[in-house]
Amino acid sequence: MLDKTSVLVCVVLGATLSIARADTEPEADPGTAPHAASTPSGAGSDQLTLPKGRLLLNAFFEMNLSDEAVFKPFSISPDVWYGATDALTIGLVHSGLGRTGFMGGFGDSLCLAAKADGCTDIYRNVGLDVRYKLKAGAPLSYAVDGGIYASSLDPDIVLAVKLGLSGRWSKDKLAIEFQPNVFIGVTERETGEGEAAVTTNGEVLNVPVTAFYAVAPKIALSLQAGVVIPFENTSDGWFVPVSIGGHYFVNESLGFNLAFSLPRLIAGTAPDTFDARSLTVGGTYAF
Amino acid sequence: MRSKTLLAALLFTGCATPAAKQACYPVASWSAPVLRCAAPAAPPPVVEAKPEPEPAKPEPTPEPTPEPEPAPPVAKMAEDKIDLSESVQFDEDSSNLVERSKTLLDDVVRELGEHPEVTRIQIEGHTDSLANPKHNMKLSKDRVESVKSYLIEKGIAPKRIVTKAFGESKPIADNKTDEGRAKNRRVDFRVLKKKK
Repeated sequence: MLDKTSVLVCVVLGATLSIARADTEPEADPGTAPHAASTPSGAGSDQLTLPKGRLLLNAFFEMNLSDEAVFKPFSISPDVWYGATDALTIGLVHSGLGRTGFMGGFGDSLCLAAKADGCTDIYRNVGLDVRYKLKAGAPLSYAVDGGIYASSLDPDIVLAVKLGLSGRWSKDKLAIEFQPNVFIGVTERETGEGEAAVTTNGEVLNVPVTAFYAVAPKIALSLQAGVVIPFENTSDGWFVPVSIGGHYFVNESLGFNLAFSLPRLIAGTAPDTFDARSLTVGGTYAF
Repeated sequence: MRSKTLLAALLFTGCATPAAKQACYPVASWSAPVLRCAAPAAPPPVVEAKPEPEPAKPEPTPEPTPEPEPAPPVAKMAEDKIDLSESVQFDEDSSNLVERSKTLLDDVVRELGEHPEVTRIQIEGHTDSLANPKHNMKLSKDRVESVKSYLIEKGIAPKRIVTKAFGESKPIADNKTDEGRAKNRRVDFRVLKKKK
């Protein structure tokens, strides 16, 4: 089982480094940065909101790779972000990444497998997110983040409110992002009645931290870890997701990313957490 | 419904301001949306108008009018170099930048941010011929490294910058006059490579 995981990790890293090599070989001088702004090493300052009128589209193809459940389910999750003002950005979010900050979700949004293969609904997990810029610039930029999310729409709408902070520190080839956020359940907080009631839409704290390293002008590698802590049944419910990924920018507008995730590398309960694995292929386009 | 959504997306896209499109690019991030933007353009230098001379007063010694503040130094990207409105200046026989030249280099940073197609520049250092050639070579080398460090500190990627020290070997004016020597003490920014 661990061997399979190792193979997948090697595939992700190998693919990324192959792209990096292919990208840098034609360049006579590797110090030249044709699209330097696409990676953490480019010049300029970062901001976690869009300028007024800009549109950013993120789309993720997410698939389960767990034992005996490969592609059960798989899903497509598009996120659309729009700069309402220079400080305020709104987003229609479907992906797990856009919602909690953690890479590695699957079965979100447009769930394309059958019910028997893990899709409870075809369309679920949608949210309206708002981000307000507090500071843009180098080396540190940050913004407050909030929104309202529906994890299910049928038969009942399960709503939660998100409150959080997004930050990014970057210097030379290194960047570190942190996105602590808390979800507060609003509707359908419990299932069952009386003593059998179980909180299924309670408060949850997510603390993802991601490091990026630019290995070439258009290529970056990333490593994400963090912790998810439910406020109820905390000792059993907490877990630590870990993801590794690669990013490749075709030009100044279009980029792709790939991530291999162990959504529950360590968990309060789960004897062998390497069983949970997922792969995400994503694309970014800035209009 | 789908066509309405597409139309809305196109309308949003059409609303994007050209300046913003030019200045910001997506970066490798898992906290979307994250963009990297070039430094905002500095406002054009304001030249203060000279105050109208006051009508002659009977007093023999009128108060002197204050000297207008000099306009801030500016840099401008040209085809194969960055034109500077004045020379980069250092403390005497030192590589320490004077404050006014830091303002000038801030403008160089802004120009480089606005011209991402310029992927490599060469900072060239020159001196006059007053000291011995060996000392002048070391001084010009220290000075270009000082300029390079300042630009990197302000966010320019190190790989965009190379340096070259010439000492006193490439004068552009007569080293026998003060004016000529002042011209020879200079730092040039040459564009080496541009993205097509």
